Amino acid sequence: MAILLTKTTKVLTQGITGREGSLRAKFMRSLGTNIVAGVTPGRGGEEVDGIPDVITHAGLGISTVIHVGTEPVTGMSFSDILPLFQEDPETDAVAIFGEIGGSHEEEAADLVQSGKFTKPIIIYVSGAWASAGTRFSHASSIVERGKGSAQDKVTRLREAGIIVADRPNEIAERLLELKQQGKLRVK
Amino acid sequence: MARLHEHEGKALFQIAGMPIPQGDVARTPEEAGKIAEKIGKPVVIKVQIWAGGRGKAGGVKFADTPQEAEKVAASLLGMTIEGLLVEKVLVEEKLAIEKEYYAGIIVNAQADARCPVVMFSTEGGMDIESVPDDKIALMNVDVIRGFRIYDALNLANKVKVPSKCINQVARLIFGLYETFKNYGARLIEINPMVITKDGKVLAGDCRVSIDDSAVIRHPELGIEVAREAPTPPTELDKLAWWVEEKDLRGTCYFAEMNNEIKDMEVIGTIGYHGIGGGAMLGVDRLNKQGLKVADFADTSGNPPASKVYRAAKFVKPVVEGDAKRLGTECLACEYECWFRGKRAIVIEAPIPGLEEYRKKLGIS
Repeated sequence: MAILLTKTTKVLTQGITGREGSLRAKFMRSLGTNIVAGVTPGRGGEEVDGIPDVITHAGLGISTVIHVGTEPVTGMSFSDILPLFQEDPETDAVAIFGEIGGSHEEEAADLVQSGKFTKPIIIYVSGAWASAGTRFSHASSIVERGKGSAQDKVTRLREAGIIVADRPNEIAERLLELKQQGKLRVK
Repeated sequence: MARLHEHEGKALFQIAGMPIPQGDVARTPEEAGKIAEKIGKPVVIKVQIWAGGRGKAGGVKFADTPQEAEKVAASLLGMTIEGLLVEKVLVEEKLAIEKEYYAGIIVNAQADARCPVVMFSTEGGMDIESVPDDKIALMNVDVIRGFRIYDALNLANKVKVPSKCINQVARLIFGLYETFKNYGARLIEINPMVITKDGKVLAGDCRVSIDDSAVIRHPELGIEVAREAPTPPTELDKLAWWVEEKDLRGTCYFAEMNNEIKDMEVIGTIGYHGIGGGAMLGVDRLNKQGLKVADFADTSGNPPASKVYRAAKFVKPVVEGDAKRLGTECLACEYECWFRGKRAIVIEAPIPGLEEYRKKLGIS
């Protein structure tokens, strides 16, 4: 089951008249998304294709793919989304691609530590090399005021008992371990 | 550059009607002497660079007379602090400091906030991160409602600012929020906010960083490269910015990395050009193999081929050139080209040449 959008969800595309928006709208419709309207361009998110690729290549299915966005302030954060995955009967584990900056990963750690999220999480945090104060590509990807470094995030996540992958591909390897342990349902 | 120098930040404070010390910026010792003469009392002379801890590095000095100010400015101008050349100094009246406060505003991205947060503390003059939480008054601002003068008064009152100066303090906090809002700042600070022995309240020092996305709305700030970075843009950064500035289709991000690395042992030798979300991953991968990146570029958002090509030109191997970039002998890239809505070509790192280069470095 999808946790945010289903086949019947009415979707409004931001920026549908733009080059990107019209292209993506066509693509989404081809996959069955119920696009009902669009508004003129503003700002948007980006694709998530790397990690899902790794997971499907490992022969595992995906219940929902979500990109929270890369702006300094996002509409939804991990702490909004994880409870939905917790409730979703078709989600057994959550794979996350994290980046430096912001507090998403720390929020995930808080949820796990407080017992509000109990399914396995496997996460990779990118940007251990990034120097403080420099923004890399995304507006949110910056170690600001000494906070949000990859090292800090990894430490915090491990403290909470979350599996942190050292390489992106390790996400799939760890998921397969879970599968062998019988913790993932596989069709 | 999205970060402003102290004197530029203070100029914005002045527009907002916030009291700042009397002073001006000097590019020559003679100018510094003239400014000190005009001020007519002992002055403080501060280097205008982005490095933190200017005082400790010897970049803040006092002078009692215009002649002395000229001499001090001559010693500061041209010096290098943390690799940054001092090209200008701020000459200001020396304040008789009674107490130092702190005021700052950042974007609070936490899920329960998602708004600007105004911070105020009576423990000024130091790094705010070392101040205990109970000494800092905070307010998350609902941007639709806005921040009002009585909110500023409440913050000052929370940390027990004496009544004789609370109005002036509140006016400065309020002005700080107005400046934050009007210029689209990502971070703004008055540190220290100075309470003088004769009871005046002024912005002693400041830090202002404009959000990269807001820079386009403020040509008056004269920001050359709208990229958040701890150091001024290099010549290469400026050239690469042209790729982004002149063509709004897709995005091009570029950073000369070696500029930030002082230890020659870890100097980067790889030019890296990644694509879109997860571009940072490629650098992770190279680092895991013992390879450091000299130049980082990322083109994204379905850019035209011309933009990708131009960005690649800036990260391409440079064997000849200045010493700092001499090591860039190899280019790693992940190119993804879209043609009429279809993914046409995918080339993934490492590209030909990398293997030979690794052998040369003795990395297997």
